[in-house]
Amino acid sequence: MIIMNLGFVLTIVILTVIFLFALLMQQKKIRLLENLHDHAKNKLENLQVNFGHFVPQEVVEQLTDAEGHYKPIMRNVTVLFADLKGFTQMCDQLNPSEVVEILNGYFRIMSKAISENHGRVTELTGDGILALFGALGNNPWHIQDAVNGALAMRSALERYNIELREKSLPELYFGIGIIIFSILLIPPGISLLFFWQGRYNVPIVCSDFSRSFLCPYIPFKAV
Amino acid sequence: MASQLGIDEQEFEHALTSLSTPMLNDVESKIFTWTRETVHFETGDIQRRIRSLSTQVDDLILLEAIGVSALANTIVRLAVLLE
Repeated sequence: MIIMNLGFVLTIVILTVIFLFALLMQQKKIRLLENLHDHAKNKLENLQVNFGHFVPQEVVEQLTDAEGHYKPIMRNVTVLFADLKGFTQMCDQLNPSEVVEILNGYFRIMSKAISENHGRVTELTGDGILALFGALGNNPWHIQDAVNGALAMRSALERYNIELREKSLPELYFGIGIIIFSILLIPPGISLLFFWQGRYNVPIVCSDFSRSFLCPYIPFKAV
Repeated sequence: MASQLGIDEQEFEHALTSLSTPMLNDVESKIFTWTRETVHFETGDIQRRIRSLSTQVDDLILLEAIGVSALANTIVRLAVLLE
C-alpha cells in the first residue's frame, strides 16, 4: 500500500516536473518570439523613418499599408517646374561655398512655399525644382494649389533676394512652368518614376517651357 | 440648400471646383478658401492657416467659421460612415 502510494506520488512529481519543464521551455520560446517580434518591429520602424527621408510620408504609409500589392495609379496632376535663370554663369563668379549657401536657402524657401500649398517637391535637378500637386492623394484643387504655390514661390523669392542683397550676394531670377498632366504614378517613387501619356520626359518638357519665360510670369499649359 | 440661397447648380459647382466665386466678398472668400484646409483634417495645416486668417478676419467671424466648419466636417464624416 505504502509502495503504491509512493509510486503514485513519484508519478505525480515526475509529471509535475515534466509539465514545469515544458512550461519553462514554452516561456523561453515565447520570450524568444517576443524578442524577434520587437527586433522586426524596430527594424521596420527604422526602415520607415529612413525611407521617409527619401520619399514623402504619405508614400511610406501607403506602401507599408499596401501588403505588397500596391498598384500603379493613373491620375491627373499638376506639374510645376521652376528653373533659375543665369545660375550657371553666376556660379562661375562665386566660390563653391557661396553657391551652396545660396542654393540651400533657395531650395529651403521654395520647398516651404510648395508644401504649404499641398505640393510635393519630387526632384531637384541642379538649380531646377520639380513639384507635383495632387499626386499623392485625391485633390480636386491641384490646379489652384499649383498656381497658389507658384505665387507663394514668387513672393518667397522676392523676400530671399532682399536677404541676398544684404549679404552682398547676387539676386536670383527664375521661371516657373505649370502643366497639367495625366501620369502613371509608380511606387515607391513619385520622384522620377512617372510617365506622361505621351512620349516626352516631363522634366525636360517643363525645363524648356519655363526657360522661355521671365520671372514675373507664370506660364500655364494644359496638356 | 444652395438653391434656397439663390445659387444655381452651375455656380455652385464652379465655386466648389475653383474655390472662388464672385458671389462672396473678400472676407467670405478668405474663409471659403480656408475651409478647404479642414477637409483632409491635418491639424498642423489647419492651425497654420487659421493663424494667418486670424490677422485678416474679425475674431467673432473667425470663431463662427471654425464652429461651422467643424460641424460640417463632423456631419459629412458621419454621413460617410452611414453609407
